[in-house]
Amino acid sequence: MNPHPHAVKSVWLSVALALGPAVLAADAPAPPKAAPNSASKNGVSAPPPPPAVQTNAQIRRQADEIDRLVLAGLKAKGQSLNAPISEEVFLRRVCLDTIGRLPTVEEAEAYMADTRPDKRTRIIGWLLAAPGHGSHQFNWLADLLRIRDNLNNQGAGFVYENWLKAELDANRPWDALVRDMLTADGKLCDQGATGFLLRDADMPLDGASYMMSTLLGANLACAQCHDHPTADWSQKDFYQMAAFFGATSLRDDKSAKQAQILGKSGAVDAIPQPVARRIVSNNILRVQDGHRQKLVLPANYKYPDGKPGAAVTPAFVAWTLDDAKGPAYRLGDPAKADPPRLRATFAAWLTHPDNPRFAANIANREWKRFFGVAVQEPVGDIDDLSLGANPELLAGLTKLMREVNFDLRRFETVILNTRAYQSAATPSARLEQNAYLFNGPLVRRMSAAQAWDSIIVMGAGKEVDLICEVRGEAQKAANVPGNDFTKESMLAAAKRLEATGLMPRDFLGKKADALSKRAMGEMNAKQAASVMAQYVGGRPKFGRAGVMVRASEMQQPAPETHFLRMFGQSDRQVACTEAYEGSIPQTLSLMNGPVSDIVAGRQSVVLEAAKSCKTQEAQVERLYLAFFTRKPSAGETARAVSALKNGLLLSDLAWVLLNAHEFLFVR
Amino acid sequence: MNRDLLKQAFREPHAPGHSRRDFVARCAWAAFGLAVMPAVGDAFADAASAGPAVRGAGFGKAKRVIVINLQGGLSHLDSFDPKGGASKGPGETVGTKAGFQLTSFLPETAKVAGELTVIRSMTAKVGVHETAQYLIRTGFEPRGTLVHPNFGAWAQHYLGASHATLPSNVCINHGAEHGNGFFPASHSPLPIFDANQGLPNAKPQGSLAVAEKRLDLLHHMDQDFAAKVPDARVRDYGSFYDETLKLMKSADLKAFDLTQEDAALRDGYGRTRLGQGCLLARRLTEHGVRYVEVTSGGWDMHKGLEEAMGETGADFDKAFAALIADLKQRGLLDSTLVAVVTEFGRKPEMEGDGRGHHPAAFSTVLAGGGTKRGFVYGATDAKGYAPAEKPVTPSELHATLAFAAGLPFEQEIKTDEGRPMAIGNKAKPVLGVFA
Repeated sequence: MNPHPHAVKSVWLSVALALGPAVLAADAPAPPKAAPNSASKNGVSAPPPPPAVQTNAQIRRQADEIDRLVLAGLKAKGQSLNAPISEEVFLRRVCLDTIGRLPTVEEAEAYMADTRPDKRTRIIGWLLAAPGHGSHQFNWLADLLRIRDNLNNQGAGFVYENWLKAELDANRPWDALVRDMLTADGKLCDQGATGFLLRDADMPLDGASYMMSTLLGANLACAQCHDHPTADWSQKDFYQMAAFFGATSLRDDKSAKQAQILGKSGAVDAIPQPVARRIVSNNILRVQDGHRQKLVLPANYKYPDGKPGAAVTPAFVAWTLDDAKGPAYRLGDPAKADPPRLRATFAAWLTHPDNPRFAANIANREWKRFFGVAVQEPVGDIDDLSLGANPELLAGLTKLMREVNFDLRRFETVILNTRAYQSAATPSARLEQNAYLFNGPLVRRMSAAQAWDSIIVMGAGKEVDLICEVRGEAQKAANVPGNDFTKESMLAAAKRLEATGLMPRDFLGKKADALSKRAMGEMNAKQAASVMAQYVGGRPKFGRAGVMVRASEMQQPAPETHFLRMFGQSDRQVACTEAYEGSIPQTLSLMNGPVSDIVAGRQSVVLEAAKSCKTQEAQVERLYLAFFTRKPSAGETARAVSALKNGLLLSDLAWVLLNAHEFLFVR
Repeated sequence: MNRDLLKQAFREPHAPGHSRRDFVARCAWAAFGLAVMPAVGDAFADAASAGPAVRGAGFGKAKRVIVINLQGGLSHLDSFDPKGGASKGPGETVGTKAGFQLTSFLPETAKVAGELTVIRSMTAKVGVHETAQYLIRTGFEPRGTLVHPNFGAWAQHYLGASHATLPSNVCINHGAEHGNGFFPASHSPLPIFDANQGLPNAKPQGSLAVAEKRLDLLHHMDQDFAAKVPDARVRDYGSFYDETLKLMKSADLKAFDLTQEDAALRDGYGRTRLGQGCLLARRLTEHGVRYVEVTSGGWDMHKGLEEAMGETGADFDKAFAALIADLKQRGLLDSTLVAVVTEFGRKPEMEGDGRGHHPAAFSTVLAGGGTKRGFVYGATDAKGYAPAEKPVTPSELHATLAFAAGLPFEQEIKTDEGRPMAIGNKAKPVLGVFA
């Protein structure tokens, strides 16, 4: 059993409350206890857990090594690192990169007041264990794994989402997480980790192609239909790899038939049809291994190494001839593996520390999050490792990922402690591929989620970090044991669903517009109760912009007209499509939309706090700290105070700060 | 950010006199055969000056382009390229007055068949949605870190902005998603997520006096920040503020307002996302937007194809036929090119009650903008498996759109990185579709 997301967060909450605002200056709280390791299923054992403590000396040594590799790359081209950054710039950047939002004024003041020389390392540790971090990680992986509430047009993704959030809060290592997803058995409404494979139940071959790209940076998409025109992948390579899933069924067709007959008999007419349909689909979407590998070469197969319709023998792909000699390939001959064990064999190979790309892929993707561009682009195609901007750096990051045993927090700890990360940002020119050598991170625009989460924390306070959605609990209510669809079992499931307090519409994951579009006042009591029933950890506030919960706790993805989508949240159809461009609707939204009410309206926490300051100078300073994480210069204060004396209100100043480029951009 | 613009936006929120004057000015330019000047600072302005070498029937007839993008992979076999035998789907094959056949899923489209050119010999290589959608939207396969522009951005590059205040490039039911490609952010499509809502948040808040003071303060802040952080993307954001303020003051905003359309006409398009999206596309192009892409989802029919064609297919059928009839009735069809595109077709053999991805053969439909009426270009083999004649690639389709819109498709431009690029990746236009 994994801990409930809220259970993990409440541990943190008690720590944070005990320490109060001073927590920033104090030692990092103990990270929440890791989830019990369940990866030993199917006889595949997980690597030993990492040593319990990551010491400062260890972090320093590892960060210095990464810096050495960055510097070597720069030096070869006659370049150097950018200047070190101030504490203010560092704090703003590191908060957005870890807890996914700006620091509050209290957090910033506590940090600035700290005089200990290792305070950067301290706050990095603290931030990576704070609840916002799990939320931030979820947004990243939801984009990578294309997570949707309406998971594959039939089943809901809530149990999957809640499972992933809990694992991220518990900092389950990346290899274990991936192994869980690849080897999970059971139903969508019951076993969260099955969501990964069931996401693409309708198109398992496309799912396999995505998997290779997102988990290994291997570009096999072309080979799905024909030999890759430029790379070495053949169509046979693709099929041999996909054959590891050829014994796995993703749908319980037998029970589906039973449900269909029941439906036609009229016995369950008392249940509204969409509800009945959803109960069935969330149960019949099921991962189960059979005893025969069924994948065959396609009808149009045209190469001499196989015939259309011929059975495929599972085989691991290899990037070089030497790969096959490595330990990841010595897990036994996959051609002889028992069909029910094929998936587990594949998972063991894929997540093996010595898999030629598994560690490199995630290390490269992590680097991109902090520097704005990966060591090797595009991240979905790192087949030729010599093509990166700094191949030695990627090799070093890969080694680091193995050293920390795929513990992403530890990996991030090291990156955030490098001098390279703590350098002034480089303004982004239109970058030629691989020309950028990491003199510092690039100037970046906040992601949609970073902007939204920052805005709502300013508007509603940092308690927002603790509010979790738990729609997975409702989805679990749809579980019909044994998939025995009878009148009784269906009615019981429908009744359990009703008892969760969620309206079917929310449960469906479709058009739950009450969540995002309507303010509390416009909702009827039932709708409001339904929205509240989706959250634990606090009572979400509502405003004209909808319910104020973090992006990770909203619909996945947010409705198309929501702030998040307008600012580039991915539609989760295609991997890694978060966008950072500006647009007219974005600008209109900041200038005239309901979102400005959150920070400049009557309920705004940040505005309330500013109003309570005694002088106008102090009021201005407080708002600058909240929006820009810095104090205003004398000139800026004078200009703002003069505007305040000249007819503008503090709420107008909040509006201006929200619309300023300095708010949206991270340097 | 242009400070005068900021103020003007609030001082003259809806000055009909002004916009009329703009309109007259534009007509005058048009009368002299001059395009509106490209946006200042356009890095590629010089490249656009040379004229195209190839011209012919249909060149430049399309003053406006509407692309309906059916995402997920429209089954050619169950729509525009019906087959018998083992390839037959759940629908029946029906004849049209134009002489070619459609399936029974498209009864309304059959009524306007006489206006259409159906290309039945589309072909591509990749059967993955992401890659194939990228190809059909841009005419290029995704490669490295370079992002390619959509058609609207190419057109804006060569022809300049299509209107003084309205955008030149709009996508409906879809995000902008890097649609400007390697062109400046000013070429980025304006996304409209809900046609019924039009352009949300266009009305300024508060009083004019307060707004001016706010904007004054904002202007100083942004200036200071731009000096500290000389970043291209920060600059791009400044230009969006300018564009936005220009739009806010414009009387042309009503182009986004579907409530100004006749209710019966709105019903005729269907009160669906695609239906109202198509209507808004007509309304926007009529008001001066050059390129509109309307996206429709739900075409990935692996399962339950019959039911899905009866729903998603019927929504499309109604919307598309209404758009063609409406454009024709307004006398706009000759100068508006409508293209129905999708990323790939579907397999000739049914898999259960659906079909899998099939990039080797699919269909595209063109109407108006100088194309032939009641015409079929190319054909697939008896099974609908692959083109039997005249194959057309997505890149060639882009070159064809470029030809119709009068763009110098054979001309190369250089990106900031010095890479040579041409619309449709130097493919040749399909001249056989033009009347």
